[in-house]
Amino acid sequence: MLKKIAMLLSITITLSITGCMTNVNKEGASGTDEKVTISVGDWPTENRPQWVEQYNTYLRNMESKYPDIKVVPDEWAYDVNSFVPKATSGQLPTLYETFHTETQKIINAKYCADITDELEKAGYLDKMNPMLKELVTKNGRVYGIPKDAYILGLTANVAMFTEAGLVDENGVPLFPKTYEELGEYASIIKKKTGKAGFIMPTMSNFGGWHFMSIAWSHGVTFMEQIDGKWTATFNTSEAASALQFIKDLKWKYDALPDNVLVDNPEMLKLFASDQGAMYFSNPADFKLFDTYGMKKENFSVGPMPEGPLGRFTLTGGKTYMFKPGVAPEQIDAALKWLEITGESPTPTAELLAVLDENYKTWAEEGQVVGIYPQNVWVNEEFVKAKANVIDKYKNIDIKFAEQFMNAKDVRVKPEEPMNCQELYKTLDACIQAVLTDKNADPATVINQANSDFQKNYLDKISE
Amino acid sequence: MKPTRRIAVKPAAGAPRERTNRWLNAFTRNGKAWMIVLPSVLLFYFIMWRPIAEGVFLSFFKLENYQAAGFVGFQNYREVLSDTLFLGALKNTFGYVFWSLLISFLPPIIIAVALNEMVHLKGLFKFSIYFPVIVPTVAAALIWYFLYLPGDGGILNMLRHSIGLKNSEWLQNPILTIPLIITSMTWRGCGTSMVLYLAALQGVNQELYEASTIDGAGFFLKLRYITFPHLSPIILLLLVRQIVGIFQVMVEPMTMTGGGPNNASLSLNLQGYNYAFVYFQPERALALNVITFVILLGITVFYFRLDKKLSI
Amino acid sequence: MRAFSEKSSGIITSLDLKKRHVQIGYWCLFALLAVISTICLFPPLWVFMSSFKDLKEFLTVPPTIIPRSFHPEKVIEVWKTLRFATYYRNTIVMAIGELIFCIFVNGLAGYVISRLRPKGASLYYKLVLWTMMLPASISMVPLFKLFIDFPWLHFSMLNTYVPMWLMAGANAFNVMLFKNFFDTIPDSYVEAARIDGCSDLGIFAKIIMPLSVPILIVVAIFSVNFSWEAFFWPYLVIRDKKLDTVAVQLFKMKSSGFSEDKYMIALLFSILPPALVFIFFQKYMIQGITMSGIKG
Repeated sequence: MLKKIAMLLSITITLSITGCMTNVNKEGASGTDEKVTISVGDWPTENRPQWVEQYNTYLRNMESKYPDIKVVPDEWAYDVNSFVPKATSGQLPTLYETFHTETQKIINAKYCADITDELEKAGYLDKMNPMLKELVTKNGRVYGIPKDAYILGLTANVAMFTEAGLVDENGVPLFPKTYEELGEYASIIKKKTGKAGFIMPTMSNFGGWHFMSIAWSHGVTFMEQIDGKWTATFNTSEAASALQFIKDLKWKYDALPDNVLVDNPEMLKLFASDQGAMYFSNPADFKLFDTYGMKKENFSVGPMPEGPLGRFTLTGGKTYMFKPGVAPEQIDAALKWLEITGESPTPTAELLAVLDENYKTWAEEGQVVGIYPQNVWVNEEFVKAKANVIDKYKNIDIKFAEQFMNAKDVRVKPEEPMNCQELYKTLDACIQAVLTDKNADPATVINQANSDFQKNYLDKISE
Repeated sequence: MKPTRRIAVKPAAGAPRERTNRWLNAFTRNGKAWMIVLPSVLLFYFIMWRPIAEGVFLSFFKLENYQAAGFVGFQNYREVLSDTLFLGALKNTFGYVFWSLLISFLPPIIIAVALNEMVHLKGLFKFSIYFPVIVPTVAAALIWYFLYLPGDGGILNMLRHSIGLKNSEWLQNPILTIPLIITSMTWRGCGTSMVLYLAALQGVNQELYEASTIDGAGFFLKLRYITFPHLSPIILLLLVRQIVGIFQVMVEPMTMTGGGPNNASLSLNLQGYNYAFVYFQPERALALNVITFVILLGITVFYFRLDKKLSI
Repeated sequence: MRAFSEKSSGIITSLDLKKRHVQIGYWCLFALLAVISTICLFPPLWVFMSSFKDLKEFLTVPPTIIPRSFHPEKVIEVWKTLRFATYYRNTIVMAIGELIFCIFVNGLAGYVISRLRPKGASLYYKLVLWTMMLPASISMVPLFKLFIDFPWLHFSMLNTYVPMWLMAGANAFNVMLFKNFFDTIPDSYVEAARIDGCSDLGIFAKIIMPLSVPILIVVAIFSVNFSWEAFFWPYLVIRDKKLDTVAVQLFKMKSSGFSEDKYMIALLFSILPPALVFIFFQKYMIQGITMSGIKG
């Protein structure tokens, strides 16, 4: 019996190996006709009607200006479940969007195309924000174009701060200056309103990601290259005190929501439904709050609190990347598409008109407009032009965002160089450990995480 | 046709002429039978065995864009096994199986037998108990979110209040996490098994019940000697399937706890998912999948050995 | 108690039910089932009903058990945004194909393994069962590549429902169910038909199938239910929006910001068809016994 099984298995394996070896035939760069075809991901769906309309306008403009380029809409949006199968089988859209936190991982796995030469030729490279360029660069080659960028701020619910008496004479929330103050304020809010004072994500790598800025400001370095070998270096008292802060939020200040398994959607939902007064967030992403019925008047944003080493924050946002193996003419076509959608650095009259329309659409859709984002293109004419458009469609009282926009001492730190996502996951577990166990010792927890991270990931870097 | 060729080699007994006839008969009979099963063979080959074999094969390589890029032997396996999370995940996975045998094995049998007795509201009961199966995963996740929510917001905590108990931490208590996830899975999976048991119960010869009633046999006697023997093959079947299925548990911990708190509900398959889809290290995921398979195979072989011994 | 005297199936016979204590036992079972049914039915109904509350109430802590507000106009709004009609039709096309593959391919495999038992059948059965023990993720990428570019023949199945149909035809659990059920059919039926000159396929169609109504219905219910909820493969394979299924559309909506209450209403729309199918078929399941004639 076993012999038969072995024989059949070997036949199957041989057959399939021969199958593996024959390469999947490469998709042609262009269609049968003369046209260059590109597919564009993240095409808006019906529940954002204004944007469907706007994208259709882009499509018409594209057709009239570049009749030899064919743009195929694709509603596929980056999602963890389908990305790997799509990427490994060459089914990604030619131009797709992903998140800043994913770019280095995607570059390492070679799921995107090198577009340095095309960007060089178009003269875009020196206009790109150096900090954002870093995100899409590896060994001097550039693999993506950041679409938008924000830095994390401390978002606060005005009504809840008012109820807790934590507002200045203008009705603007008193943003906590330090992490200790954050804990104290959160505690006051919890006592006065019965709702959580602060929302800390703890799942799906978001906990670890948000923990970064807290840890950096406590003076933690997570890893260093010692004698050419990457070494985890967060088994320190600084890291322990950063984790102690998280622990205190729950057990000392009693300021967190009852549910401590919080992922990103849960965090947004809690904040947008008035169940939490503060959290670290993208200051401009208001659409989601709106889905849960939060009023714009309740929205305010301040700078990140200060730790022993100062203020630190992270950037987030989306990045355009290209399907691996695209032809140069497809990349050029995609750059032209970005010109049509208002995302290229040369502020021509046409581009300004599109920008104007884009912000008008944002405002119509109910987004917060008025806070200057981190600019992707830093050539001065572009920055100025964009600021003008934003001011034109401003729809919030700017006093609720001034402190965030004017904060000069906030340092934006790039992500850790190696195994970010794994680090976030490891830290997620640390955060959960101190939030679910009153007796957990932060120093022990973080030291264990340090040695696990070293053993599981850094020791296995084969480069 | 491999199997038929093998028959040809086998010497058959009897006179030469007779032998040829038998051979021909066997050949045509087997050949016809294989023709009928051919669609299934082809589909299993292309949909299951071939891709699986490819996956197993690739687990011994370093992968680049899912293409083999250098043979590395057992290195992927070593990396997976030396991961500090592996042992915990293995222990949790066995924990899932243990709790699932304890919590979800008996209810569908009891429900099916009871349901089969009903003359009142049978249809309504059946629909209600099957209903959770129809509820989409996302909706089920939200339902359990509301039920298990710690603090005053949770429905189950509201119930505890009404009988004078304090709030429970539910999923956030690492000791309760796995049994609670299993409970929610039982709620959702019970209907499937129940329907199968119910279908099997339709096959019981009703006259046996009637005859033994006249002989004065009571409910439990009939259950023991008529119903149970009839159900035993399907019970065995579903038991094996349950163990195999629970051993591969992934979606529920992923949506309910993300493997937390502090990895208390991390299962082998969830770890594999993280390797493949979150960390972009499919080779490690493949190696972990093969390890899971080997463990499962070990359990089933052991089980069938035991089963044979017991039945002899 | 007229109902009791008509009882024609189950361990407790109508004769038993004349006794007082058996009647008490019966009502105990009834009570047990009533409790279980409530546990099964009530939580989802509560969540679905809650989605008619206004958003504030939907999210209040602690939640309200009895709704204070009621907004049926949300239903219309959700229906309008989602344009379910096309997606219903697409899902039905996919589900019917899956059902056909599921019953015929797996059914025939079960039949051959159980009844005809050619040389190698038991090995084949083992290999089939083994596929259940491997996590689906091991074969996900190779399988997807196969759908994009079929080996040797080089055609693509993208943008069709064929991949989902094919996958329904290679379902080890269903083969197992069929094989197991066919095992219980007495040999005498099959032999009688064979003497009458029935071919192998004839026996399958004329004898086996009609005798297997209960299991056919069970498999059909599972199959339809599965197609209705499956989103992963259709999401990967279907690229033309016009061909999207209900589950895929729901997934897209979810990821582009739809509040939970409205999402629940959308889900309610999505589960109506399988619920109706179940109600419709479960009647036949009870009748299956009389039709199948296993009684004798």
